[in-house]
Amino acid sequence: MSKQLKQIAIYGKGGIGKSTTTSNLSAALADMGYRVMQFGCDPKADSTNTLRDGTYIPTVLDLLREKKQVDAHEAIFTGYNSIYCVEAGGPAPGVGCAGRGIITAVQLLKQQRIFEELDLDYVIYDVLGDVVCGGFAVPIREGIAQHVFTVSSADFMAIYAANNLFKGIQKYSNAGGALLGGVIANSISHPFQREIIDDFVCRTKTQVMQYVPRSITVTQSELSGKTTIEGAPESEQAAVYRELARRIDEHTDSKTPAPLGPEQLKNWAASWADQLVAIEIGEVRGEKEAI
Amino acid sequence: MSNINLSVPAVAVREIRLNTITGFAGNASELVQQSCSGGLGERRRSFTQCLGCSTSNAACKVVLVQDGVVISHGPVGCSACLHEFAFTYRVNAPLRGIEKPTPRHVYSTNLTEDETVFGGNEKLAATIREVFERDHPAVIFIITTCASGIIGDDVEGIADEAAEELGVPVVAIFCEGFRSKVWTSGFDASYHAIARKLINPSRFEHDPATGTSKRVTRPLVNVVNFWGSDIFNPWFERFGVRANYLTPYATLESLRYSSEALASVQVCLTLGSYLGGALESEFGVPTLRAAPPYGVPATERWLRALGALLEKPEVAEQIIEEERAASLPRIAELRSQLQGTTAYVTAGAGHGHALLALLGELGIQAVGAALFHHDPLNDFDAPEADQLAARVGDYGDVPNISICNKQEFELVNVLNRVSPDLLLARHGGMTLWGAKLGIPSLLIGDEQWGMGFEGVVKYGESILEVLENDEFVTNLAKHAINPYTQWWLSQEPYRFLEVE
Repeated sequence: MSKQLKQIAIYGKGGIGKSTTTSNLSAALADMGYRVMQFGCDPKADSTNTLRDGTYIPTVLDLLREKKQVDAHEAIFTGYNSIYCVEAGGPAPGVGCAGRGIITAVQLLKQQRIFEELDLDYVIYDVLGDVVCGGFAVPIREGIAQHVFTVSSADFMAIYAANNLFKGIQKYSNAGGALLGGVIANSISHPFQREIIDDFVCRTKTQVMQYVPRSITVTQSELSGKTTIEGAPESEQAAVYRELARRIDEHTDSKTPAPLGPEQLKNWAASWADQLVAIEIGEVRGEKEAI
Repeated sequence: MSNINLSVPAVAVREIRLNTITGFAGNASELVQQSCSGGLGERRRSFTQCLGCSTSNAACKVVLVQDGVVISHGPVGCSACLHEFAFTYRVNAPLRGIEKPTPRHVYSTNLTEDETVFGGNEKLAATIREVFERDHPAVIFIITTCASGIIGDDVEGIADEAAEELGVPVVAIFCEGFRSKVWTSGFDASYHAIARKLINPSRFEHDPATGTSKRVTRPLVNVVNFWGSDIFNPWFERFGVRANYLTPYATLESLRYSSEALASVQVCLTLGSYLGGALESEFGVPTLRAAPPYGVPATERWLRALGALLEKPEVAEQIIEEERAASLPRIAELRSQLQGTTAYVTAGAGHGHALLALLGELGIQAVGAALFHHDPLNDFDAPEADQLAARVGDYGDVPNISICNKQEFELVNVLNRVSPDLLLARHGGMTLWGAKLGIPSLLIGDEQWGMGFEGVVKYGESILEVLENDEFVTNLAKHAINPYTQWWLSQEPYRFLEVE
């Protein structure tokens, strides 16, 4: 009788386009007929804005601050195509403990059996940046999410953050934690960026789920408070997100990644730096590297 | 709907699960009425003194498991008071037939500045291995603390990994003090973990009589309790069953097969609510729906409910008849001797209600009570098991009920004001205020001691003895210095309770 709830966590460096990607993924999955919840795990609490015409919703932790007994339903709002939107919320910058905030918020919903009650097909956690402390690892621990996808551009700082996340996943992989589904390559506009990501996933034994180009359509939709799926459903970019959703829907087997060690990462980045300089000055090194 | 959800590692705290409060002032009947109507609100204190911590209550339920050891995962200070359970275990062991109580082993991972920065997972894993090497326990319990909770250590993951590596259950108990102001949430944390990780799933077999499957049972009744006299087995033997005491003095094995008991009973609703509820909703073991047997009417209702549950109502009637004959004349004598006496009670929620019932039975006028918290609901959805409602129904209302989590400034003010002939308490340290004010005070820690017909007699006789021997408290009061000022003693005792 009970269908299989698929729980996914989307991680990535701050500002890399996690919330944009996540919201478009949620919207595309909802369009496919699934019952979806998007759970923002970032104290900024803006993960679900584009699912709700650019508006903010009260967060779980806001509600907990107001009163001791919170009915989880009060923190659940519906957005585009009946997607359930929840924001964990958290402290103001520079105070308190955002990590504990995530633990508290996730526990509240789990204890009240909300996922079962809403008969969901998908819960998608949109988690802030690096796994900076224990709290941020909650969605990948204790069997909460089964699959983790990381959003990364070809920017090296984003890749470092992804590599760090892989370390977290590797750490919890033996204890029934979530495994890595793959990388969502974001802002990929040049072939060399694609090569950098391809090289990285190859070395860390994972895969690219989708290459998402940088697009003005995304910005236009977001400025009107919408996802691309909602704001520009006929656009090429929307088709890219729909394909991502289809692949994630079909995805079943996640794996333990093989993160690079500090020295490996440094050497790997340095080798790419040399290649990028060569590209910049137009040096032709051979068929493969020729851009 | 039941708020018991064993699929998540941490228990939902009482404030959320049961709407539990720690601030109230009024009559018992008002408290009962507001609890039933769902209109009971918390009155916060703008000033408070001490509070207990959930981690200690969680420890209480697992340090006393005979073949287990406990690791406190936190700074060493969080386990500083846990040695008291070693004492409790030792002195109460003979009452449960344990002739040679083994030492209690309580460890701390001693989290330091380093681990709060770099994470305590590895230290916890190493501690579990070390503890296993030293003690080879049947089961290892880990109780969390605020520090490990805030840094988000993966206690559940580490415990599961260690269990697989060592081949013994390693049980993570989430009882961080900051999660709840109601320290009894710590009991629930331990029960939750035990129900998730130790209790065997119920087994079913085909019942040819009905053609359906039925739960495999043993002739046992779970007794969710603390420690103290074995009042239950003499009753249970008459029904052909034995007591399976949970969780103090239990063993890994007896915890495991608690799912095969015929029923569960509680010595105290606030203590046993969660385990009783979990055994019922998750394992199919019914919980007895009657307030615990304190005072004659409650004892009779309880025995009859047990008789009905075990399908031997005639045995219950026999016991009632015999015990009435044995005790009622003496209870009547005690009543006449104690007539006109006034008493004040301070205890935890459930047992406080029990003491108020005993006072009612003995004809002593209860002039008030300071009870540590109040649960308007229980975890098995049985309003008929409410002890305070039973007390009010059987013996009438009680004035001056204060829900007060050991706020001594309030207690002293009230005692000074109502000036009872007697103070009854259950917790160590609570009678000293009575004594300093010259009020004869009686502290009985053994919850079972006052149960049944005989319990009424024992309490009555002890109270008479305490009242007759008041020289000590009278002299002490002459020399005691009250640390509270006249100003405070002249204030209304609930001055710091917010107005609703």
